[in-house]
Amino acid sequence: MLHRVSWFTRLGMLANMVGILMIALGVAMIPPILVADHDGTQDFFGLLASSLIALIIGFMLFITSRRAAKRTYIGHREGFLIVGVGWFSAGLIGALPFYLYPHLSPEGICQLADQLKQQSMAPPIGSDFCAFSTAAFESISGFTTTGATAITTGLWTEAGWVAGDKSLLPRGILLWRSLTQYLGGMGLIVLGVAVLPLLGIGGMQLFRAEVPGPQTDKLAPRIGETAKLLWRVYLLLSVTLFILLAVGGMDTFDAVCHTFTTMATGGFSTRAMSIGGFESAYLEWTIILFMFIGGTNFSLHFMALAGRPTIYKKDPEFWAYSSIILTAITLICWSLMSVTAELPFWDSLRTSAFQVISIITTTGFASTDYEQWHIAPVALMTLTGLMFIGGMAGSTSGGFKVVRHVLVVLTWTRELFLLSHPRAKRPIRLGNRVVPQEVIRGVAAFAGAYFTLLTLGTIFFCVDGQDLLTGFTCSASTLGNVGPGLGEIGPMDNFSGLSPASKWFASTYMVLGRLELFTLLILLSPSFWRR
Amino acid sequence: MRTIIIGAGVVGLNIASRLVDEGHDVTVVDTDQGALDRISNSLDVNTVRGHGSHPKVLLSAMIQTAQMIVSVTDSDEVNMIACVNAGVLGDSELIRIARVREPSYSHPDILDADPYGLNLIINPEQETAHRISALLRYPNVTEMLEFAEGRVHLVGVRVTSISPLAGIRLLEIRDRFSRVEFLIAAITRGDEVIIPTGATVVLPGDEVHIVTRSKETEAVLSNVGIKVTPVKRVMIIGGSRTGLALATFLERRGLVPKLVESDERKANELAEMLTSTVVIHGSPTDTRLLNEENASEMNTFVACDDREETNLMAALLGREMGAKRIIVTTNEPEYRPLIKSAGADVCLSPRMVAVSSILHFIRRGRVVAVQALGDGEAAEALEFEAQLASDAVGVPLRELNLPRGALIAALVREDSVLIPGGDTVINEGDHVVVLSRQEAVHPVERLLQRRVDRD
Repeated sequence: MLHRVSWFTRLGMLANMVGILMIALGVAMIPPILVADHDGTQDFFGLLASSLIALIIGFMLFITSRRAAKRTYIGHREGFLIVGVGWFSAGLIGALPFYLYPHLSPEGICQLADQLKQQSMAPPIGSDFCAFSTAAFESISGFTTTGATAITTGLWTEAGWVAGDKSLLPRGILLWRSLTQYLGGMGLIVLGVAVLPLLGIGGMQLFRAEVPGPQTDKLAPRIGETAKLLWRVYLLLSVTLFILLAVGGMDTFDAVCHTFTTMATGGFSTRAMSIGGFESAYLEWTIILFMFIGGTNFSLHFMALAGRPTIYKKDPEFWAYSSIILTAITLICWSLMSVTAELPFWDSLRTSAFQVISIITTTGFASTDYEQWHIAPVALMTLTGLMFIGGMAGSTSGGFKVVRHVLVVLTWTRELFLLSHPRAKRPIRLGNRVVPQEVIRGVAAFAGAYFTLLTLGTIFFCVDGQDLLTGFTCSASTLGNVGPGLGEIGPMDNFSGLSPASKWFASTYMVLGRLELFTLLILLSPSFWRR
Repeated sequence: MRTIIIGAGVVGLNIASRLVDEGHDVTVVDTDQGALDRISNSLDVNTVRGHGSHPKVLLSAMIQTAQMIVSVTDSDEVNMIACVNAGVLGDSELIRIARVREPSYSHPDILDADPYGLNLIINPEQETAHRISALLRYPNVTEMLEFAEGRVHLVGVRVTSISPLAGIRLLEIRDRFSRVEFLIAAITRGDEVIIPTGATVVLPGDEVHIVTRSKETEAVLSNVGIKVTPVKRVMIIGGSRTGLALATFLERRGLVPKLVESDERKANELAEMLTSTVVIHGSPTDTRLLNEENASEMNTFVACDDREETNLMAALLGREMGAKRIIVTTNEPEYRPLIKSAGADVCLSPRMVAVSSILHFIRRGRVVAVQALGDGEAAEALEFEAQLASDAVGVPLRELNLPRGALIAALVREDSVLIPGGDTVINEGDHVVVLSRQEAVHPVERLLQRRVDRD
């Protein structure tokens, strides 16, 4: 049967999907509301209002477009549109709790901020979010699991949450902040593992090619089933991490928040000092392990849990991922010990492992202020290089992805080979599988686009007044969904120094990076809109 | 023995002719009346026209009374189905042999379960590749056979005018080469295979077949002037089944062969199937390409394309460019002398390899192992287990009345390998490696296995 689909119907279908997404987000805001109600903090009204707005808009969209959605077939183009629009609208709806929290607070945080500013006194807690650009930045940073924050004051100190302490950000809003990352990470798995391969865009298709054995092309015959299986793995790992963190002395709330942001390789922390604020070697090692797990292809975890633990050994991307990590840790550990005479080996190892894995998996937690490492340039440069690597395809991490680097290296080694054997035929192999030429082309295009965008981004941030180091790492960090950078946006600093224009630009870059560039770039291409 | 042969091609014809010579009844089945006519004009066989896999055809070939079926059509599937059907229709003791060329049918699980009930699977290209790969162990040998579970080697060596073997009388060997023990068991001179006596003189241009203990093969080779540096650089011309199988074997040994294939699509497929082999797309007779890929530096140059003329030209070019050793395969066994005279050191025909493996299988039971010497059927190397009642046991070899054209080349007694002299005595249970010209094979079998014959 032929479907004759009008443009209007397509819009209806899009509205339907966005409607469902908004209802889901409205429901997801309920736990933070309950926490805020229990604490009696100022964020209660903002969260409640946001949830109601999301539910109302969601239901309106859903109901009005219900009939259109039933008749429409979702093809490639619709898929791109839904993913792009969906991610942005989630970012905007998710920004409401941040934005409405100071505006609807009983104490009138935003008016207070204006008065204090005139008297050039320190702004009150929560006033960061009076500007919508900041709220949207925080939310998009959350959903894209970037973990770049624009919060200047109110993040907790070593003491943690003290009920009634007005100098601390309320728990409701911090829970929402962590939750955006968890949801983003979950969405990613579906997007990366189940949806993107269907749309047939370059790199992510590799996920299938690299899993050895014919029976594992897809974990289940249907995408829905595959997604469910992977979510189960995600939940199982999350519960494990929560227990480990709770055993290690985190209170329940901190354990929940950090479980959310670690599993999603997001990087938001409740503490101003990030994980360094807990001063616990046990917690650092636990988080190192789970960041590593989060940066690994989830379908490998699934197969390992399903009784094939040797699957890791067979996966060439996993080999590359692990060896890059081990090399980087060795380099940094050695470099740190050579400049700091009295640093004990185990401390050096833990610090290097933490920073290396945090950056390569694009989590963005910090256990130390690695900007102090300018005395050890090898360590700092290694860490900066890791920002361009990223985790494995099919994981919750962002960035360029290890598999693309592997393919780029294989491509240039093949070029070297062909120089000495001009008439040889040599396919590129990942493990035992031959990688189709189209995938190589996709990777080449991706690499080109990535570095073009990186340069353009750096120029933009510099035009907007940042210095070169800040501008460059800001561009790299947002495009790669890493979180912190260097200079003004170092691990113990934040992104509040960015102008509103830069914040919007950075937000766009985070979504671009998250959606593997092309999903979003295609929306800018005229051929996409041609009917 | 009544045998049904399905497929009247080169393999079918050659098997039929050998079986008829040995006095068996043969029925040949083929769909092509012309091929059947040609065969019945030259051989005393019965012919049946039809599809060999069809039960009706098998019945009209009288499968019920046959003792063996040999299915060697060009189609693996027809061969397998013919054997399956023959197993149902024929006698329960029916020996079933099929030519199956697709390597993936030889999956170990399939072989274990043996769903087709095959007694022997012949894969001529695979076996040819295997023999070539054995030759590639040393840079200059023309033959490499193994006996007694690999403890005895039979190595073919070409004698040049500067070789220490040139002009030597066999009696002098023990004095001249005192540090190593070996035996020249046969000499190929032109088309003829000579089983030598003490008085025989080795001439330049001969190919000598040397029997050694496998542990000492390298020492023997270097003593007779053959370099024993391992073969590293191999160029394979033609991505035929043989070429692919050979490249796979060599890859497993850790070598990086070069493979030249002129068809681009095939070259791409080969590049995907092979891992480390350098697959080159281009004409194998293009001298620029051969230069580019350093054909002159190759230890061995193997031409195994499906086209005869490509192989011949490639062999000529390879010789011209200075490749150290040239191995050629051919589908037309008659071309072998021609190809050798064109400069090939070794010429193998997969079809003849198939013929000899089938014939040797038929004789299994009487002998432990049989291998044809060279590619022809002129002489064979046989491995027997000596029987107590045999006339050969307990007598010094010089007193043993061995038929002309046969020679005892090695004895394997428990763990030791003896290179025999005139005083050596065969014990019961020894494994005896004998080289024999075709006409002496039967007398030798009788001599060593008297008791079996008496039963």
